[in-house]
Amino acid sequence: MGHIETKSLLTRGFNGNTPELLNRADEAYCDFVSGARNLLMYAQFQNIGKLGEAELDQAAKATGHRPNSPDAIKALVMKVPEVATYFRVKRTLQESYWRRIAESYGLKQREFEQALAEADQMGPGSVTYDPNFVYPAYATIDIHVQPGGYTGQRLGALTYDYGTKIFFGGAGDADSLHHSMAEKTSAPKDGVVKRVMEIGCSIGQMACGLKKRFPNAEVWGTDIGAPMVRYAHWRTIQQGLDVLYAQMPAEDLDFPDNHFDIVTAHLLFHEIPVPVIKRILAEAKRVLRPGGVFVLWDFFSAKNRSGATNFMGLMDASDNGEPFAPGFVNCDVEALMEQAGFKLRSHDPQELGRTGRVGDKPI
Amino acid sequence: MSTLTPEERAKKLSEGLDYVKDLPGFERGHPHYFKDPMIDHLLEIVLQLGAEMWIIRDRQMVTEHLLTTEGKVTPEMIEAFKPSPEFREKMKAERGTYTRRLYQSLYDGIGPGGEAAFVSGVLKVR
Ligand SMILES: C[S@@+](CC[C@H](N)C(=O)[O-])C[C@H]1O[C@@H](n2cnc3c(N)ncnc32)[C@H](O)[C@@H]1O
Repeated sequence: MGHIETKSLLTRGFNGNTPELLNRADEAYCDFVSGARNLLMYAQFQNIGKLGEAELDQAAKATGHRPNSPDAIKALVMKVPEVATYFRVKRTLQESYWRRIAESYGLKQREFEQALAEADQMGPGSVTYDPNFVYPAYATIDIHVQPGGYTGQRLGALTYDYGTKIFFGGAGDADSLHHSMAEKTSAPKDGVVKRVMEIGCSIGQMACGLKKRFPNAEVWGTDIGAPMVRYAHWRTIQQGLDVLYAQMPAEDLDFPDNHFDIVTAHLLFHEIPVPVIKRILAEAKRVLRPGGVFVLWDFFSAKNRSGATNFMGLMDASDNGEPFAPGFVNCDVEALMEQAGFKLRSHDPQELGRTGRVGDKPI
Repeated sequence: MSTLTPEERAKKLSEGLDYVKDLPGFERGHPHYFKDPMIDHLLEIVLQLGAEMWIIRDRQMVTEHLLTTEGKVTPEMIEAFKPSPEFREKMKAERGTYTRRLYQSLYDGIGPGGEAAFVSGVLKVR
């Protein structure tokens, strides 16, 4: 096979920075799923939450204790037809879009793989990964019910790209969510920004946003998944941006001490076990220079928000492939950041579009 | 660079994480939500049918649009078609009506729900 041109690979072009699906029918299918999620799920989110909680309250009154295991909770709330319907619809729509997206891009599996292999050797920017990398079990889970998760499919990151577009119901199109978060990312107090890294960078949306925000800085995107960093690099080349990608577990980074001015983690912590979060905080502190800043955006902490551990959260964890989210919500990440040696500058974790938690490494 | 072999490194990265193998309540298979799993199957089929029917409607709308604006239509033109923002909005509104009509009875008992979007429904941005 000769060199693969993006234009001939993506006959239907891009949607923002995301490759269009390979035919109109697949796109229409996903449009339907995306709209159905908005109407049949998100719009009913509050209603279903209340119905389920009421059912649990009633059981608590009757028996004197409130069930807290996912199985016991499900046994109770699924008796309410609307609740069962909601979760049936949710699971079906979730499984449907992953399947259809993978089928669509899969029509050109070999060509996509070749394009990634060619991009491995191209600039701007670069990518490094270890083809023999062995993943710890926690990194092989089908997060969000995506078959193969972040690490198990060679085109998994491409599928993830279109999948998150659906997940956000259009609200994140053209990387707008990530870029606005990058715009609001806090810088070190002395204003010096020479090296920036996003850990758990997935497909590089945030890393690209950071490169635009700090065009003169060296910007890194690291992730445990080889499929992620390889595709992130390809996607970044399409935007003509110079970002350095590397496969690295965030708890074991191949960087010297005191190396970075900013380290960011967006939506990484709720997807990993708490012991790993602690190791990552220590590692982030190590690679940041004194005065450097760690920026975390993720779910709220239970102590900051009542209902954080309600049954909608538990259902998301158990039936939407977020097994580590309850652990994160309950771990008091603000305290963990302080224990790791960061000085909390601010935290406003309840809102999207703000920076979440910001920790300075003391000078 | 790590001096460990890939296997040794994986072992190190997995230290203290044995519990991951058996996460309580975490649903890996294909769960069902109704006592009678046939209701799950039927709802799945009904959703798939809705999606496949939308594909046909989508194609019909694009076909009519191309015939009106270009005077002819071919499969290649349909595949290459890039809707304008206005056309995209029109499709979206049509899809909303279509989805509501098909599925509104599902939540008859609890009403139409709130604003239909991820951001308003889940994240509640101020
Ligand atoms: C939800 S995604 C993060 C998305 C991205 N930061 C963003 O804002 O779009 C989580 C990512 O973290 C990666 N990941 C999981 N465990 C990791 C670890 N220990 N070190 C580095 N990355 C990890 C996954 O491979 C996945 O790409």
